[in-house]
Amino acid sequence: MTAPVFAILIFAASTLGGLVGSLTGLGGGAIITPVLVLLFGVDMRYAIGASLIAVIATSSGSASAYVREGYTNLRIAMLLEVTTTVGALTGALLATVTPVSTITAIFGLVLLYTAATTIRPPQTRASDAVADPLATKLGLNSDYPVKASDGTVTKVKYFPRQIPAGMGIMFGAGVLSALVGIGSGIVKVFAMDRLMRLPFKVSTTTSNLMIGVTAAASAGVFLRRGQIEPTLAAPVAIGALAGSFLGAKILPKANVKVLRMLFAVVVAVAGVQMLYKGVSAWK
Amino acid sequence: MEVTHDARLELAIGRVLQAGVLLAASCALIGGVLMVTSHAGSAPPPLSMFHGVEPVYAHPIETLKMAFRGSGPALMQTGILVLIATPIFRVGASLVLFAIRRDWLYVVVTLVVVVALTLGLLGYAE
Repeated sequence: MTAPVFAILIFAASTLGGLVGSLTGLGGGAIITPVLVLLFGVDMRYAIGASLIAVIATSSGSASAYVREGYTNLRIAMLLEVTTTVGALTGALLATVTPVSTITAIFGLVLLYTAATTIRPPQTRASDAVADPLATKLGLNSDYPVKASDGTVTKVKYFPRQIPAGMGIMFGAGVLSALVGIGSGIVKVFAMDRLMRLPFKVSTTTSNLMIGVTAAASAGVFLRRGQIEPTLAAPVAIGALAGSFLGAKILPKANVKVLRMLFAVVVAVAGVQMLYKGVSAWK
Repeated sequence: MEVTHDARLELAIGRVLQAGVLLAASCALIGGVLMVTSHAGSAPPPLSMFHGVEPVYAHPIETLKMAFRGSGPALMQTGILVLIATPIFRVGASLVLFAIRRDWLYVVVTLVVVVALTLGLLGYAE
């Protein structure tokens, strides 16, 4: 295999990963990293570096489409980014002292958790009708557009709650993001959906916007450590970007239920393999 | 009860991100084409064992210098550097726009994020 063939294969695999990740709403990292490690035999450290760049690409690439629809809450994003970026720096530090086998095993567990949440999506509770004093003080209460079946758009107010707990979980999301090179969108959406009780569309779009900043916080560290190989990271990032754009285009027409189940199975198998690969290297 | 909406602010930031991503993708694609035309028969990079990238790709200034000399992989890495810069631009743009709106609490919040990002980029997290 020559270098151009390798780059084209990586690009094709990442496009597929980005497409499926965007259709299922769980991000391409859960597919791209295992494909690089298990199929292409790429070392975990290079795969993490490339995946982190892909995370930034898809986050920045889709952010402009989301904000135009008026779902993203920038104040919440910025407030939570305080703890995610500090978490990402902590995770980047931890990555230097954690054996690759352990990181691989942790990644396997993250994949299994992703598969589990895909099969049983967390129940979304309705937003509180009463404002939380802290959220009011921080100016986090907002509204988002809801389109009725007759085409009229009404603005629905929402009132976030449990801000400190949300910020705490976000620290963990930052650590995880830097340690295994994923966007950790599932953790972010969990905190915003379940704890802070943001409307689903607000939490997914706000989380998407934050993912890029969290990844950028640790990207500099990975760059200097030599984990970002241009001939790997560039085709991975561009592929993931192309795949996610394609996914956003066909999403309104696609029946994602079957795809989500298929994705869950593939991710679970990859999770078990990564866990095995990591654990079997402990000696 | 105050209900806020930062629609215009968010829209401007979204455009910055979009432009950054387009620039990054162009760099990476042109770099890829350059690599394919100049190294058509060479072996793929040895990535099965971690040994770190060539030092030039770990230093942004050196990478840029090499990209200007027409190196495909260096131009690809330049695209990656632009990508890493997009969310940082976003935070910077948010800072400016929060300041324009005299939303001082969020100016301070954003400054904390800026400090954390700077620490990561300059290497104090090591």
